[in-house]
Amino acid sequence: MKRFLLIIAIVFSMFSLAIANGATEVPVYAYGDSDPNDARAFVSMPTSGSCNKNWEFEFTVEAQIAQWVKWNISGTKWTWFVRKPGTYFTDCIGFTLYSNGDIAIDFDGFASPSYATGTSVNPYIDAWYAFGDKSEDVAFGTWYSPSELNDQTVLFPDSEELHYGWGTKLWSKIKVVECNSASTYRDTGTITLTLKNQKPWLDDNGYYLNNLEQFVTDER
Amino acid sequence: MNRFLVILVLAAIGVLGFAQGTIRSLDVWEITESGSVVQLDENTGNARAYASMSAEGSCNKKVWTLQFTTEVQVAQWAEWSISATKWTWFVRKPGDYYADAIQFSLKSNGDVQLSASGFNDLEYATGGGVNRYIETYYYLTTDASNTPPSTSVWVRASDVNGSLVVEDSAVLHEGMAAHLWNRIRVVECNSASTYRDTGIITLTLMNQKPWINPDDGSWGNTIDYVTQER
Repeated sequence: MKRFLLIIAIVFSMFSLAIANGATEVPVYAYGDSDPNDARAFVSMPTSGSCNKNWEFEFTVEAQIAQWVKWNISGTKWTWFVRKPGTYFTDCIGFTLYSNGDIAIDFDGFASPSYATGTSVNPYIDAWYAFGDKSEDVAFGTWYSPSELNDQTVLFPDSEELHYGWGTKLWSKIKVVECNSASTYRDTGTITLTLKNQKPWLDDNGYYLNNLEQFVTDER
Repeated sequence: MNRFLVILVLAAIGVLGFAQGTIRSLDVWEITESGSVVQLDENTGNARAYASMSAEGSCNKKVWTLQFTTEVQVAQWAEWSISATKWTWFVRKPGDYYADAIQFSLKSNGDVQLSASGFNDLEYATGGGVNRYIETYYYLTTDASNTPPSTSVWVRASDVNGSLVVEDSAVLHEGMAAHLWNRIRVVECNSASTYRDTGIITLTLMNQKPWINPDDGSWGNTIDYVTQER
């Protein structure tokens, strides 16, 4: 019974605070290329006084910054044309990532490119992936098989480099053997970027929630 | 009306081109069997690669997913050898003779059509003769032991003309070997002289890719064959 009353009291007091908060949205303006739709502002915690004393009151500016990301990849498909069996590798799909918070990158569904139609003596082509800048570093560096790539979760912690743009190149290696019949082999996987420090007042698509004022607090 | 259709087609091509995005030719290296790394020349190397279908994003959306595709188009190759392309017989007296010794090997990663044309009995090379022809037969066997053929298996020269398809198989990828036997029946009516016949064997790679120049196996316009298929 005591616990129940305590919960009721806490909920009631929070509700009272929210009301007392008096959050009111105010227009936002922007300079230069800034888009005023990318920021919203509220004023709250009004106060007043009326007598002859000296007054002092606190004044707070709080900015809650959402996590943003800007990324680009110069290609999402490699197309190889192979005349004869051999082990080949190529640069270079460039990938750049800017963000102001931790980013996780996951890989899923990668497999050896397989015969696109019909059958083959060997319907698979061995494939590997690597990250790096220079061919001499990549050639004998770490190559990930598709299954190894699927097991990878790459975490980019928040850093100055990430804010100003982090980049790498993706490399592709294939081994075409004599048992691979003439044809087209293909595989498609999925790469997922997750913003790990996103604010709760944005929905999954990055839009403001309707009840934004609920995230205006009384904290100083 | 026709002009309208042309404009419509051009517009559709334009839209497709835009959707495809920039297609970039990439540098390619080969790791040789000895383990060395060689950067391939675009024209003489045996592999080319392109990157296409770029993507980008910029906003506060929490989770982004993008598809990523690796596609390998493998051309048909063939590796073949024949230990000789001419038999020369020296016959002192009439008789029914046969000989082995021409070996043929073929490796490929797709169907190969073998066609023969122009094969006939040997014919008196110059002038006339009492019998201007020598009956000629061939026998092709993949029997590794190369056992001498019986009299019933021979194929008369004119019946050799035609074609057969060696279908894609593990054996073909690893390499098939065959022996070609030749038989001649020299009769008393064959005047002393030289008799000769020359036929043509044609190998056709049946599963060749359209980006290979069929005349010499050189590169065609590969960039036209980069697709948006996932």
